[in-house]
Parts: sequence; C-alpha cells; structure tokens
Amino acid sequence: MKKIAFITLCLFGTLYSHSQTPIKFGGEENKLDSMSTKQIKTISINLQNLNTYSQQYYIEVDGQVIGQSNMLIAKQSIKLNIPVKINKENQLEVHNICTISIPQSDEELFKSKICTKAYLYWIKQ
Amino acid sequence: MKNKIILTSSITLSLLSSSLFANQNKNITFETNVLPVCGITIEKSDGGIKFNDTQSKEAASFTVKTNSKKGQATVSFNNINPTDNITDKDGFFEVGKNKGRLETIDWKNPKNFDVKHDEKQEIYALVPKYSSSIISGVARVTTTLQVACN
Repeated sequence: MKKIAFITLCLFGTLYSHSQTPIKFGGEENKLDSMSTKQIKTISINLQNLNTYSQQYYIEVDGQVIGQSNMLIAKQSIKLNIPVKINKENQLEVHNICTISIPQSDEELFKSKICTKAYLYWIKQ
Repeated sequence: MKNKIILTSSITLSLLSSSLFANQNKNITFETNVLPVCGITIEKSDGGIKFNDTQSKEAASFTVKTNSKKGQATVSFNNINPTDNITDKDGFFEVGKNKGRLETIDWKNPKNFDVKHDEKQEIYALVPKYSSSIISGVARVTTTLQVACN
C-alpha cells in the first residue's frame, strides 16, 4: 500500500502576519500627494510585524520584487521609503506597492501579502 | 433708588466682564488623522490535505485586521502551488468561519471573498481523489493570501 506522506506542515510554530498602511496613496481624496514633478516618486509605507517573533518581508512594486525589508523584531513598525517610477507624464497612473512575508522554510503553506495602491501623476511642462 | 442703581451697575459690570472673557476665550482642538490599517494574522499555518478516502480534515486559520468603515477586507489566494503529485492542479480550498458556510476556492480559478474584521477564518485543502491514486511522497500546496482593505 502506498504510503502517502500528508503534509502536516509542522512549521515550528511559525505563523505569518503583518500590517501595512496606507492602503491608498493619493487619488481623489488627496490629489496633492499624487502629484510629482519628477519621474520617480518616493512613497512612504508603514510596515508592522504583528508576529511575536522576527520576520522579514519582500518589497514588491508593480509585481516586481525590488528588495527586502530589514528583519523586523516582534511588533516592530518601520517606515519604508519606496521609489516608484511613473511611466508617462501628465497622465494618472496606478501603481501597486506590496509587502510579502518571507517564508522561513520551503514548506510553509502561506505567505501574507498586503498592497498599497498609489495614484501618481507626473507633471511635466 | 440707591439700591436700584447698585443693582443695575452690578448687572452691567457682570455682563461686561463676561463679554470680555468670551472675547478672550480660545478653543483647543485635538486632532489626529487615523490612518487606515490593513493586516492579517495567520493563527495556524499548518493543515492536512483531505483526499476522498481520508475521514478528517485539518484546518489552517487566519484573521483579517482592518479599521475600514465597512469593517471588512477582500482576501484573494495567489500563487497556488501544489506539488507535482497533485496533477492538473486538481484541488480546492474551503474557507469560512468556524461552523459557518464554507466558500469553495478552486485552485485553477480562485475567486476573491470578503472577510469581516477580527473574524477568524478556517481553511481546508481538499483533493477529490483517492490517496492511492497519488504518487507517494509529500503532497503539499502553498499559497499567498493577499488582503485588500477597502
């Protein structure tokens, strides 16, 4: 009889959780934040590790991983300044800035991901 | 007569002083912009895959944290990756609160679903096949839980 090794992902008690703010940057409610006189706009994101142990996060902009956060100790909150490239001038664009928990083992079942939607407008005369 | 004059004078003085006081009165306002927060905690990240011939199913669980007006967030399952012995991505998740109605999330075509703030959700992984038809070894599925707070 075939023996199936079920995955009982004993993950050494590792659980993943985090929070991110803001979830929306700029847009109708805050047009000034949306505007940029340069092609690269720096967006500030607050990231918090809700775990009771240290955790690191991938930083992703528009689906591309651009780096990693430092290792955040339990409950630590940090401010990340993320550079976002605006593609076209004088046109409203939507960019997604996400943080994704970095698995501490290949066998982890979940990763958590939270995104900020940034509405950006590059003003060029 | 004298009493009347004194009374009138004191009322006038009292009105004057209260009017002066009112003019000097300043309002103090305390204000803080409360930022919307979007978070997720995964209470239990381990679970077992249920096949047709396995009796029990073991849930993983998570809770969404949001301070949005609606008090809810949308959860989507991204990058669902089963191991090779689960062929054709033939499986699904069942998600819902404990003893509540469970939503089915097909691994091939996962749909989003709304979750209330602080309401613990349980997730089950199911493969509608007999375990004897699965190549032996570790059968595993991994996924990314993306939370969007509106």
